[in-house]
Amino acid sequence: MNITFINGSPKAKAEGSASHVILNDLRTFLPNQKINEIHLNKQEVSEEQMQLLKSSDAIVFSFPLYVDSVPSQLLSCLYEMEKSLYALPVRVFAISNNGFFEGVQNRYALEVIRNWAVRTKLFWGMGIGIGGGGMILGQNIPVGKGSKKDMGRAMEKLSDSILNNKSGEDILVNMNFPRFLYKMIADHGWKVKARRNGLKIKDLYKTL
Amino acid sequence: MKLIIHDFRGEDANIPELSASENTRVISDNGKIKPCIGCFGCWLKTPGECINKSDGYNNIGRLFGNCSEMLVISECRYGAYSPFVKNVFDRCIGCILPFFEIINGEMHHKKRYGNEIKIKIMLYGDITGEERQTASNILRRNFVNLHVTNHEILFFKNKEDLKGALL
Ligand SMILES: Cc1cc2nc3c(=O)[nH]c(=O)nc-3n(C[C@H](O)[C@H](O)[C@H](O)COP(=O)(O)O)c2cc1C
Repeated sequence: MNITFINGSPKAKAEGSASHVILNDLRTFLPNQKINEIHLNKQEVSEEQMQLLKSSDAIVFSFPLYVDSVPSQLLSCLYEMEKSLYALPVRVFAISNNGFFEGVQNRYALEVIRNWAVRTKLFWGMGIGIGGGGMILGQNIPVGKGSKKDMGRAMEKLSDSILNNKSGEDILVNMNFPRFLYKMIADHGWKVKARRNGLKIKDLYKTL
Repeated sequence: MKLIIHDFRGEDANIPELSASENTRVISDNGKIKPCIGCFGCWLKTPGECINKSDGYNNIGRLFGNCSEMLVISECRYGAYSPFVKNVFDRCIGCILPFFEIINGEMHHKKRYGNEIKIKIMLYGDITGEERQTASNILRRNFVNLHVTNHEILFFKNKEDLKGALL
């Protein structure tokens, strides 16, 4: 099976995105498959990327939740892909990750991808939403273990759906980690980063 | 101040209802807007303002934080805003703080500004029932995230109908 992973994070470097780490985790559930990964961080899809997408049996979007929806550059790409992939035998899957703790906040962004698939006349498989994206980067926790326990279970279902041509309900998961600690660590992290940029904590509250 | 955000181009945009004036600022599409690159510079480097000044769209957070009324006009496809209007919203997050708070049992960001915004959203396009549902749900979430309490969402079959409703 020809699978194309689409990293939909607008960050400059794919490796610096949670979306990429998530796709790497998903790979462990898809051994012996031919997987290509592309990074759609520009407002358009290159000719080469589009060829790859058109020749895929399955495509898997992995993107960050931006203002409760899909990031704008990925939306631009979806407009182009609607024309180029129309009614092809390509199956569509999606993973949305977000900065807030609750994976459920990704629900409607996943619906945007499903609505895109419907408009483009493609088979919609399923989506997963992953909360607590701030914990995904820079940690080497194997998927299915520790804070990534529920994420592992969701990926099992997703990979089964990819490999066996099934569609299913979206699954929305959190990190297996206390929310109050996540919030505390994240709030502290902003302050550390600001100080590193030479700012005082009160500068962060500036109004213009 | 009233803020208008729209994705009309050319002739469509040249109507008095979408013109800037003393009390009205307009964010429109000149084809040059660059996407947010997720650097959080608008929180941690130049708080309140996007660090990308190359395209002139770096002051969106400031405008959001200083308006009392907002009119958003956008195509709606897949249940989302058009790429331009979505780009404007992606680059608005300087109007809130990085710090978290729990609202209705869910995590969100704290306010940076104290302004109360009355928002009207006009969406146009050949929108399916499901897309309409998705759009309404996304916008309901946006209102919580952007701390908007007074809101109205209207759907139109096409640009012409929407323009009729502006007059
Ligand atoms: C412009 C912008 C908007 C965002 N909007 C949301 C949001 O609405 N809800 C949320 O939980 N996280 C939001 N986030 C946080 C990202 O979803 C989170 O940092 C994610 O893990 C980034 O993934 P990536 O590294 O793959 O780009 C936003 C981040 C940015 C830069």
